[in-house]
Amino acid sequence: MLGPKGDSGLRRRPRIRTALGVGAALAMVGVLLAIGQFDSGGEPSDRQTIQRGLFPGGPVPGGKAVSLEEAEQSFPMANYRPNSGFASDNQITGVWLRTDEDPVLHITYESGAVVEIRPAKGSQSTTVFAQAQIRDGVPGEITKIQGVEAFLIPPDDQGNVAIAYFNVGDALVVIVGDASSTIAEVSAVSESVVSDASTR
Amino acid sequence: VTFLTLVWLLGAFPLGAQAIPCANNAGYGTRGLQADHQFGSRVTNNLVINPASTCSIVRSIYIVNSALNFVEVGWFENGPDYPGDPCDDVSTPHILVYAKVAGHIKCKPATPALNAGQSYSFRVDNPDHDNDFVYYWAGDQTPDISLGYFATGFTRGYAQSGDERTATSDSLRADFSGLNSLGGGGGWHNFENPSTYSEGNVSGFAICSWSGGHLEVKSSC
Repeated sequence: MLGPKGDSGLRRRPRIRTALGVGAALAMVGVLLAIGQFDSGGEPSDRQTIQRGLFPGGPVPGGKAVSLEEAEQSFPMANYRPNSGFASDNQITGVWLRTDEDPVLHITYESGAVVEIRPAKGSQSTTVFAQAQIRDGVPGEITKIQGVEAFLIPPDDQGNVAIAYFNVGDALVVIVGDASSTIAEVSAVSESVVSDASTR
Repeated sequence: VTFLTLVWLLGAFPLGAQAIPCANNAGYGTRGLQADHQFGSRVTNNLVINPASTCSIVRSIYIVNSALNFVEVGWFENGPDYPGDPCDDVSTPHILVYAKVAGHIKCKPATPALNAGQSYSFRVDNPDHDNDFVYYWAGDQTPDISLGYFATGFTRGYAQSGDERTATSDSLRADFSGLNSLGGGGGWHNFENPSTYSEGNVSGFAICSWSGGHLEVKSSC
């Protein structure tokens, strides 16, 4: 909608127009520099997340970090462990143990996988647990791993990772992958745990 | 041409989304831990809304069974540059109803908004010891306001309080006055003096006394 008045105005103020043009160009350079600074400053700020559920003493409240040998001696039940390419004894990065009336063994692996074991006694069956989770909207499925009923939850783009949940022997086992794990990798760890249980 | 180029640039790179950067210091704050098995937790006053406006902030109480199993209730605010955490993007304070069950995140969407500068109380408990933790808003009142429940697969854990955010400047007050935990017998136990804890990856921040035994996280006291 620039009419004669606008054209006239521009013609009458060539210096101002030039200054505005240079200013706009500098502003654009500033915008680009600012964007570049934000995007190149280490971790992208738009992908930071708050990590909830962390606290002093590691991932098992009331427990402590122990060696694998200590865990084998002190955990009051079978200590089933995987032996797969994704999680095996020589890839363990941490072992946490709680031995009170609600014992739990929590092992982390180089791959980022976590295996948590606790007594199955008193806990819900896999089916009852899975049905309750599905009612809550958890996108998992009930399946079988080497004949053992298991609840498998696939990873998603909302921060959830691949998970397997099952009872084997006297243990309730939860296997959790890291952000890049596939459900197939977590299933392979599960099969390895089930195999270990079948040999004891 | 210059004006059109500027318009195009602003369209391609919306400044509002990243106008104020947040330092990578997620997960600092203060924590309390009730070293006994508990079936619930509540704060009866002063879970103060202290918005961070452009960075994520969470103030809450937990029952933690393990890092893979916990329930959490309180309030949170996500700046516009923090998509997807924890379940909705909100740029003003809202109630947080959150759980991690066997490692899977659960979060109630579309929770009520809260007013900055106000104090609110919250409660989460499992009085029937039946694996279902129930969440309440106005947890100091009878009857209080139910926020629903999550099926968890665990019945008890350790009571814990938490303040977390990603921000660099303003102080973060950790006021847990009125914090209680629910014992196995159904009684609420006083939890007034939680221990303090600052995550190890956030050097440059200190836990300072604020008033009356309450705490404040600042760059220096």
